[in-house]
Amino acid sequence: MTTTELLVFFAVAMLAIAVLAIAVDWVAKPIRRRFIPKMYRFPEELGRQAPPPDPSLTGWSDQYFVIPDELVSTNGHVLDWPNLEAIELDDDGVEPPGVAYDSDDVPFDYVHEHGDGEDGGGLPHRALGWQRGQYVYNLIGNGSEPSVEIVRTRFWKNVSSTEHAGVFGAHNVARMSRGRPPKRRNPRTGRDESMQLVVEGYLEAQGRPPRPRWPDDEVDPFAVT
Amino acid sequence: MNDLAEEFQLSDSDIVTWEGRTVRAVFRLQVTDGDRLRVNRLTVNRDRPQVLKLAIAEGELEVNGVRAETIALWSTTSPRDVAVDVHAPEATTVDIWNGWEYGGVGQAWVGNAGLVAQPVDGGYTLQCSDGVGPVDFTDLVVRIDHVKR
Repeated sequence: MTTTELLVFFAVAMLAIAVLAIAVDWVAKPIRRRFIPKMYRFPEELGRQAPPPDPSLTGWSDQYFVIPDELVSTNGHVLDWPNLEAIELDDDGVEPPGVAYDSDDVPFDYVHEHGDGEDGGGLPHRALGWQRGQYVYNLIGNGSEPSVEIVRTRFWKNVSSTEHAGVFGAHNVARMSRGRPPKRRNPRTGRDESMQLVVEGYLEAQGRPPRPRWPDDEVDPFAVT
Repeated sequence: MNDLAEEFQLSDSDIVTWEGRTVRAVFRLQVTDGDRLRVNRLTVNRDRPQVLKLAIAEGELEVNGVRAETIALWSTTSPRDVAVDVHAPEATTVDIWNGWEYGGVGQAWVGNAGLVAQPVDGGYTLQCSDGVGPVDFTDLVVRIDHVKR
């Protein structure tokens, strides 16, 4: 084989490889495109603002996006945190019931607190689209119902946005900001365990955001049954 | 600076040293059937409900007529002095750790949670830090007297 023939053979081989690569790329692109619209349902993941909803479709109005200043931290996150006062113990050393701690004012409920008003059925109104700090049951961009997994992801992202999320540790804040539940090391088992979140549909939950729990199995022998 | 939970995680241990103090995630007591643990709550953080949890490895614990493997003594529901009776087929252990309520949710073993155990005559004092804010071993302080059968 002469040098010229060798060069021609090499050029043809390279051309064949290039054509094959182009074909693979051409075949793959439609597949990737098929999944892109799903990603666009989460505008914050693309660094975009949620598209303004159509009031004629949802009854939405500007007032639902107005969050009281006292509920917004300096970094723009929505907060609601009580100023708890000292509680006096009674003679038995038991804190008086009903005055101690208001769980409605703490981070796991804050997404419900600023809600979005109420619709005709007494449930919190839902805007179109969702950004961190907003109601977890907000409808997704195309107006359809958010799936359980979407609500779960939104919930953890919301918790990660509170300044009190630091109690879970920096590693867990990073996990929650990706929509994953926090983890802890259980020293009794030596294993890591995740916080659990049972999510119901919007109607089943009566619009109440889900409440997380650690996988503890304990009994309060003095609880009122 | 890592919080205590991260220190426990990094050390892969239930015991770490923090500012010269031995801090535990769980305090473990050897017990036998018929033993009694008298739990006396000395101080409690007023910002959040605090809880002391006791879990037996084999058998049951009995408090206030209720028998269970794991008992939670909340500052909001339990009296200051509580008797915990051990029902076990043989010698076993009771794990003791602290928790708290935060955001309406029971928490433990996250943030700056940990406890310091000090032996006293007839038992131990447990100085517990909940996970919220800086380490503070006055969040929950209990004395546990171990009355052996």
